[in-house]
Order: sequence, then structure tokens, then C-alpha cells
Amino acid sequence: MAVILTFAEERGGKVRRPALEVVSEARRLADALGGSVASVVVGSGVGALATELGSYGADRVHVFDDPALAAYATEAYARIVSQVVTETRPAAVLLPFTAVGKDLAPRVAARIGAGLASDCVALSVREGRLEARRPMYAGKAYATVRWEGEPQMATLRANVFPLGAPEPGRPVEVVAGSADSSARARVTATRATTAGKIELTEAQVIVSGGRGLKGPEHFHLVQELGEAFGAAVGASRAVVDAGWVDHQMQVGQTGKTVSPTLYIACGISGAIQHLAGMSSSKIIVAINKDADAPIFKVADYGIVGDAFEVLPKLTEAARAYFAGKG
Amino acid sequence: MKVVVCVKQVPDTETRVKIAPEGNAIVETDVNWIVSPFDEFAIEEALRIREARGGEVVLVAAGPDRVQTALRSGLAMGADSGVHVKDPLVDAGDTLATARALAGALKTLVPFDIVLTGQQGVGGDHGQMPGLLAELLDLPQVTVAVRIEIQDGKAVVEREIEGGRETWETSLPAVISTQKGLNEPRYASLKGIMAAKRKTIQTVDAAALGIDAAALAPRLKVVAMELPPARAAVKMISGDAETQSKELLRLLHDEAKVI
Amino acid sequence: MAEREVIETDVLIVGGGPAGLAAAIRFKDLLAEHNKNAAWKLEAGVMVVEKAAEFGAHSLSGAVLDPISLKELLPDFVEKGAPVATAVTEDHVYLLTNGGRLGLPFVPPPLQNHGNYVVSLNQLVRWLASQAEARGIDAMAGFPGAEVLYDGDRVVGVRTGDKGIDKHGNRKANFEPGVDLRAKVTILAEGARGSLTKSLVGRLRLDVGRIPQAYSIGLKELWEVPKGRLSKGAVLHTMGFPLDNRTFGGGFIYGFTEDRISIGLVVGLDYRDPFLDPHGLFQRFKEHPMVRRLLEGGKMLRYGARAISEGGWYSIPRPYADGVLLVGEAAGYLNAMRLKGIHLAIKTGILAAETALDAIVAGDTSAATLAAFEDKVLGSYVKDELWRVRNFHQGFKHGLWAGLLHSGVQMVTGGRGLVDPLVPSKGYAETETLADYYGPGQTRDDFRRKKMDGALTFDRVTDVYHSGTKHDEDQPAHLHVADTNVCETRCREDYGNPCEKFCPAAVYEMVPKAGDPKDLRLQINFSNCVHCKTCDVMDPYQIITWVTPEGGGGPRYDDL
Repeated sequence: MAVILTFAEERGGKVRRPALEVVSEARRLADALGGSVASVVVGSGVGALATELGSYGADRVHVFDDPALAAYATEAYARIVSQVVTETRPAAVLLPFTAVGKDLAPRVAARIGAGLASDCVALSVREGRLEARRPMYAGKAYATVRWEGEPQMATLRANVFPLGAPEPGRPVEVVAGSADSSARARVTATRATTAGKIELTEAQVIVSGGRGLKGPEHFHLVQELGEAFGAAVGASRAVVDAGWVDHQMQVGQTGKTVSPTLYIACGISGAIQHLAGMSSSKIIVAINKDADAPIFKVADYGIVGDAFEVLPKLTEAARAYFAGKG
Repeated sequence: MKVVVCVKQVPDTETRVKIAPEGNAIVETDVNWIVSPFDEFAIEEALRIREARGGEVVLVAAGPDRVQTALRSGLAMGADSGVHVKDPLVDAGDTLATARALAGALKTLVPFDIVLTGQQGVGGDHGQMPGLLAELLDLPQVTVAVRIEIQDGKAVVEREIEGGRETWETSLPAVISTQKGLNEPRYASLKGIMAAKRKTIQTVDAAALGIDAAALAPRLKVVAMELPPARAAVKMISGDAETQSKELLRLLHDEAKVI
Repeated sequence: MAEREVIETDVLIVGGGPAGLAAAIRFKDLLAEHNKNAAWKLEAGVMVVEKAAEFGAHSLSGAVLDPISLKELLPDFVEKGAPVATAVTEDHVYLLTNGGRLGLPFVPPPLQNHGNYVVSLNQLVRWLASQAEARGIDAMAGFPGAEVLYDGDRVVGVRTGDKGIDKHGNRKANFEPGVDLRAKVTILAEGARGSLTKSLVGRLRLDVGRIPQAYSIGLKELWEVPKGRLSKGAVLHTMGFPLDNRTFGGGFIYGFTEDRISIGLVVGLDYRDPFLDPHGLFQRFKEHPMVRRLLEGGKMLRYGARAISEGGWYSIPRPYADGVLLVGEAAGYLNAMRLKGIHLAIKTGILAAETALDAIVAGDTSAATLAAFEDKVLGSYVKDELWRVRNFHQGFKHGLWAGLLHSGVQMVTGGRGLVDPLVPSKGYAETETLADYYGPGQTRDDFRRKKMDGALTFDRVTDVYHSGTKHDEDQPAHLHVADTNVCETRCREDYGNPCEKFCPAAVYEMVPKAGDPKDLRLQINFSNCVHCKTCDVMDPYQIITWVTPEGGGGPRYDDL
């Protein structure tokens, strides 16, 4: 019976959401293959997490609970995951494409000689094997990939695979494991970066403002909308050239190229130089007074309206929406 | 100190991607090839380490003939020499195959103190190379470095994670991957470009590195490639500003599923 | 400055276009020949500096190449892979009216192109650069010649531009000072309205006794169209629509390959209408039924623009001084009637190389020795050709029909024509004020830009995107306007800010000031610049000076 093994990244005593998305997807794939899902969780005081993993579909959880493993350390974690792979001989190993996942997965892949597909945005089963879809060339192309041999390793992009409906109390087998926790590279300190400035090129949501805002004194409307969405704030070249905002915020051919899940363009006409920087956004919303503005040709959703009217209303509605979500 | 930098040649971000007739690769004819921007941070950091502590900087790259241009531009920045792993079997392989070939080349450069490389190449965008290399060379790794400080026998590295920074300490030798913000790469000076012509690039193939075809057989294959799907025509939302706002949020949640 | 590096060479060539590369290649070949027979071998270094990131990136032209000088430079150019796949197969000249066209029953001899090739200058220059590299020439792309270095009045070399200066003029972390390149002979091959050439000619007064140089702007797009629209090798030239009878210029349409058309419009930079918008006229040109039929359903691939030296023989300055030679279009070697300059660029490059080698062997690179260059030019077909058309552009001063008449007479009198020399005024001085051209009461606000459809016609910003032009935005603007107060007041009132109209790249924009929106200030979107030099030529007050931006910045004229 095929086993899909997942790595359950933990932080602050909880399984991180991207790792739960991975378990959910593993569950779907295992069901299609007629197989089972196993997870490995590593850390200190993580025994209790097996239940949650079980509720999202894991049939068996390998727990490596040791104070020495409290902080992530590449070599120790890689050793452990590889050990579980050797024991369980899974058909596939899935990890979240997070900072830890990006660091860990290749190490494991080289150790066990497996093919690793990074940053997958879709997975499916075809003739008993997996097939994945992943972006290449900064999102300008998408590749369909398949593996030779086993296990088939993949890291999954966060926020793309839907979380399954958890089944509290779902039976799960817990296997305690132990391993050598040594590592030559270790974390010595952590700090949170000053809240606010989300890096544009990594942001999942971006709100951008252009000349339609008429003047720098109105740009705060864009920033407020950004805050309501928890988004990074960008700008068109026109407003950067005019000195309203810093060049760091420029999205476009000569600024930053971004590929967020959601891009909201406010008062931006959609000159091709700007489009070059954001056209690979998953969903584009355009708000512009001019119904003929080229931005509407690439937008998924459009609002023809005055930014001064629409932005405050949208900000208000967004605040209410996100507050309600909890 | 001996710093080795693994460099990848990639299409520049302006390249208009076109899918080749075979359907699983891009058309390479109109491509403008550059050194991956993340690797430029690695080269710059290597040069700074050499400036502070003496030693040498060696560049290693795998690929067809055109990769020599990438190596030369790194030499023009100031690196001392280069190694070109040139083998069609490596080119036809996957990331793991490339890693095995590069690791093979790096083994010929032992002893070295640090391996620096960009955290991802903007071609395949896998971001795997640093981890693969570290494991194959049995070295510790610190990835996505935004600050590197070399102390005797070890490196103190600041690393970027979601919502924060971690400080790591690693023994040397180690593999460290570089992230944007680490430094500002220098321009190649005129003298540097002229000098680069006289610096050595050694060319080796897989056989010379003792790597057989089986080790290079790809474990991951691209079976198809396509351009991002064309968008459907825009859905205009009507009503007054308040209605539009509420409707937009509803669509973004229910239909687009992005919030 | 103590920190600037100095690199010495023998021959320094500024500008990696056909003239500069021809000079470099010829010099090396002559040197090799010299050393074959010489008692003692001479070592001489040749360096070419080019502001573009790659050779050819800033090169564009129609173009129809007369291979006469390329054959001299590289007799086996075809075997060596020169990009000359398209021989000219047919020539047509049309007079276009608003809706129709009149085909000329015969093609005037100067416009006959049998034996010539339709080429992309970008491709040709890339190929020439590879030939230069193969000869061990230091071909340095990404290094602009920023300043001529003098020792008194002798040219001793060129300083390259600094890199890594931010928009406020401060050094960035990766600041790299320009290098002083010192050479025995410096050859300026910058193309039309070269910035170093302009300042050198002015300083050494090499244009005393010459008529003012005249210019046109050439705008071009490369289109992909269904096969069969236009035969490969077909060469079409047009006059008339969309230009009025008083505006010099004409269109060109060349069948470049089976499915690619090179199309463009040339507009004389001595027009009268202060609102004239050359880019807009080019877009209108495409709307003519004959042109539209050729392009419909096709895809515009690339766009570019460049000033063209039109003044002819009488406007060419003295092309030599102590330590320096001027070649190609930078000096003005272009046949405006045949619409050809590449072959003259290559030929003058060849002659400059010969002159330079002789001077270096003789150990004397003073003006007296370098004057041999002018003698060589005088004894070559460069002089023959240019002498016959020496009054061509000037003949059009009073309009199309007068110009054709002058031209006709010139053709049968070996160039003398009705008046010899015909003296033009400076192009920018021809621009009339709003009041004079349109009547009192006309203001800047009366300007209407044509609406583009985005399929056949494009706005400037879209076209600029297709020129591939990019500059690091964190650097000082490379368009120096001596007094922007003039823009805000006198120019706005008198001329309505023509810079907003004549720039084919939307660099200049008058935008409302923060305080009172009725007040306007000049905003310079320098990163759009395609290095055409039109602003340097045309601004009515001559307060705009184009200087080299940070090396590597500018267009990417692939296949133009």
C-alpha cells in the first residue's frame, strides 16, 4: 500500500498552516492511490500534535520529541526525515515550501537520491504515479513534471492547496522515534523583523497605486487599503518618478517583478511597462476611472470608478471582512 | 581563505518566454543569458571575503559553451579562476544530476573554506542547489543569508525567514546560499574585463570527475511546459462604490478563492 | 583625480557602430600585414568603447546596405556569416496622398538598389563585433565615452563614465570611477550628433567655414506579418502623406524576411510647426490604406528612433585634429539622397584606420599627419558620392516641390544645382512660434495627441517598451537642461513646449506643479530615453545637452 509521507513543520507548539495544507493534499492523493498518509514531526514537546495531524488525514505520525530538537537544525532534521523514509519506504514525500521546507527538502533529496520538485502549485495522480505543476522562469511558464523512481519528493506552495475539513478524533497511530540531534550549523538567535514592510517580491497580496490618485497627499488611501488586506504596497513608475513614493515600491519593467496571488491596481492605467512587472499575478483587480484603461484588458475583476470613492469603501469592507474571518 | 562560488547562467528577466515545439522546454534562440542575480550576490560576497582575509575565489558552473560568458563576467568582477563542467549528460539531467556534477568539481578544489551560491536560479527556480550540494559534500549549510560574518573556523550568518531573521552559527567549511540584500554587487571594471580574458577557465566533463551516466540520470523530468493560462475577459463590477466593494470581496472569496 | 585608473592604448575608438568597428578591424588587419613584411614587429593595441550593454543594441537603421565598403573590409563577408540574407529584389517609389498613391513610373537612379541588401544594422553590428573580437580587439560594451581628455588642444584620450552614482549625485556602494583611456589616436565614431564630437568640434572650432549640420529623425518599427504580404527584398520609399509639402521626409517599407517588414518614417528636423509630433506622424503613416494593408493583423515586434545627419558634404567639419579623427555619421558622412550612410561609415572607418597606422608607425599623430585622412576621403568614392548630393537636403528648404526641382537640377549638374552652396539655417531655428504658425491665441493647451488603437498604432509609452530601453533609475538624469525656468515660462508661451512633441520616447513632460496646478514644471523621464539625440538637435533655445548615461543603459534594438 502506497504511503505518502509529509513533514509537519512546527512552530510555537503548533503545526504551521502550510504543513496542514500538505497533509490535506497528501490525504487526497493517498485516497486516489488507495494508500495511507504518514507524517513526521520533529521538535520539543510536540507529541500532542499527532492528534491534529490525524484529524487532517494522517494515519500515522512519527514523533521525534527531544529538547535538543527544539530549534530547527538542517542536518538533524534531514537525518530524521531520511530515517523515516528508509523505514516507511513511501511512494512520495511532501513538505511545505516554507523557509524550513526550502532548507530541508533538498538535503533529504540528496541524501536519499530522490527527485525533488519545488514550489508545486498542483499535484495529481496519473497511472499510480504523481504528476506536479510548478512555475519556472519567474512565473512566466509552468512545467508539468513527473518522477523516476521513489520516493517522489515535492515541496508545496503555501496558500494554494485547500485545507481539508478536519475530523476531530480521527484515529491515528503514533510512533515515537529518536535520532542523533547533532548539527554543525545551529540557530543562535531569532528576532521578528519590524512589522509592516512586507517585501513586494514575496508578498501574496499587493495593493498598488498610480497616477489616478492625483497627488502624493492621496496615496494614503492606497496604503490604508493595503493595511486592510494585510498586503504589501506598490506603485507605478509614474508616481515614483513624480517623487510620491520611494523607488523600492515600484512595480514594473524597471522596478520589481511580482507574482502575488492577488494584485489590486488603483488608479493605474496599465501601461505595458507596469504590466510587465505584475502580469503573472494570479488574480488582478483594477480600479480606474477610465473604462478604456488598458489595465482592464489584463484584469480579472474591474471596477470603473473614482479611486477617491472606491478605495475608502473597499478598505472599510475589507476591514469588516477580515475581522469577521477571525 | 578559498571561497568557491557556484554560478548558474539563466535567461534574463526580460526574456519573452516561448515554448519550444517539443513542448517541454523554452526556445533558447532569442534568450539573453545572464548570471543569475542571486549568484552575483555570492560572487560579490566571495570577493569581499578575499579582500578582508586574503585567499582566492574560484567560480564553478555547469552547462554548454555559453556558460563561459557567465564565468568570464564573474572573473571580470575579480574572481581568480573558473571551472566549467561541460557535459551533455549533465545538461540533460535534473537538478540532482547538476548537483552531483558540481559536487564532483568541488571535490577537486578541496581544501576550500566556504561554498557560496545564490539561493535560487531564476530559471528552474527550484532553490535546491545549496541543500543538494551541502548534503553531497557532507557539509553544514545555512540558506537565504542576508548577512555573513566570517570568524576563525566559523561563520555567523543572518538568515531570512517568514516574519523575521534568524542568526545561525556554522563551522567551516560550509555551504551558504545568498539572498537579495546581502550586498550590492560591484560592476566589472574595464581593467577587470581585460584581465578576465587572461584568467584560466578549466573545462571538465563528468567522466573526468569520476561521475558515471547512472548518477546523472534524471529523477525528475519535465514532460510539458506551457505559458500561464490566458485570462478570461474582465468581470466588471457595477453599482455604487459600497456595492462594488462588497461584491468584489465576495467574488475574491467565493469565486477566485484568494482571500 | 588620483583615484582614476589610466589605461594606455594605441588606438581608441569611441562608438561601436559600423564606422568604429570597421576602423578597429581594418587597423588590426593592416597591422598584421605590416608585421608580415616589416623588419621589426609593431605591437599596437586597439580598444573600442561602446555605451550599450552589447554591441549593436543601440544600432538601428532602415536599412538598405550598399556592400561596396563591406567588401573592401572583409572580402569574404558572405562566407564569414555576415547577416546579408536579403538581396534587394525590387524598388518602388510612391507619392502618397490622403487616401491614395501615385507610383513613380521610374525609380531615380540614386534610389535604385540593385546589388544591395536589406539588412538589420543591429545584426550587422553584432556580426562586426564578433569579427573584431576574433582579432583580439578589446571591444568593451557598457562603457560610454563621457569626456574627451586634452593636453592643451591635443586630444590624448577619453574618460569613460562613472558608474554607481545615485540620483542625487552621491556615490553608491558599488561606485566605480570612470577610467582615463589614453591613446595615440582617438577616433570618434559616435553616430549622428555624438556628444563628444559635438563638444570637440565646438572647442576646436572644426566647423569654421562649414554650413550648419542638418538632421532628420528616423523612426522605425519591425513588424511580423503573414507571409506573402510583401516580398522579401522589396524596397518601398514614399513621399507625401502624412507629411505636408513644407516638411522634409518620407517613409520606407522594406521586406526584411518572408514574414518581417521594416517600416519607418524620416522627418526633417527643420520643420516649422511647433506642435509637430514625429512619432504621431509615423503612426499616421501606418494608417494609409497601402501601409495598413501590409501590416494588418501583424504584430509589432520592436521600435526605435535615431537622429540622422543630413547636412551633406558642406556641413562636415574638419575631420581631424591633434590626436583625433572623426568618422561615420558623427562627422556627417551620409548620403541623404540615397538614404545611405552605413557604407560611408565603414569606408571612412577604413580610411581612418589606414591614417592611424601610418601616423603611429611614423611616430607622429599630430593634425598635420592625421590630415592625410581628409586627403584619403577626398580621393575616394566618399567624396564622389557626397559631392554629387552636396545640396540635396538644403534644396527642400522651401518645400517638397522646390526640393524636387532643386534635386533634379542637381542630378544633371553633378550636384551644383541652381545655387551652390545652398545654405540652410539651423534646423531648430526653423521652428515657428505658436503665434506665427497657428495665429494669435494658440496655446500649449491646444495640442491634441492622436489616439492610438493599440493594434496598428501605438502610443509612445508602448513603443518605448518595445524598444527594450532601460536605465537604472537611481542615477542623475542624463538630459541636462540648462535653465528649466525657460521651459516653464518662455518656451511654454512661445512654442508650447515642443520637447513634449518631438521626443519619440516621452522623456519630456510638463506636469502640474504641486502648489498651483496651472503652473507647469518640466519632468524628465530619462529612463525612457532611446538615445536618439533629437532633443539635443531640436530644442528652440538649445539649452538641452544630451550626455552619456551610466554605461549599459539604453535601448535593445534586436533585429532593428
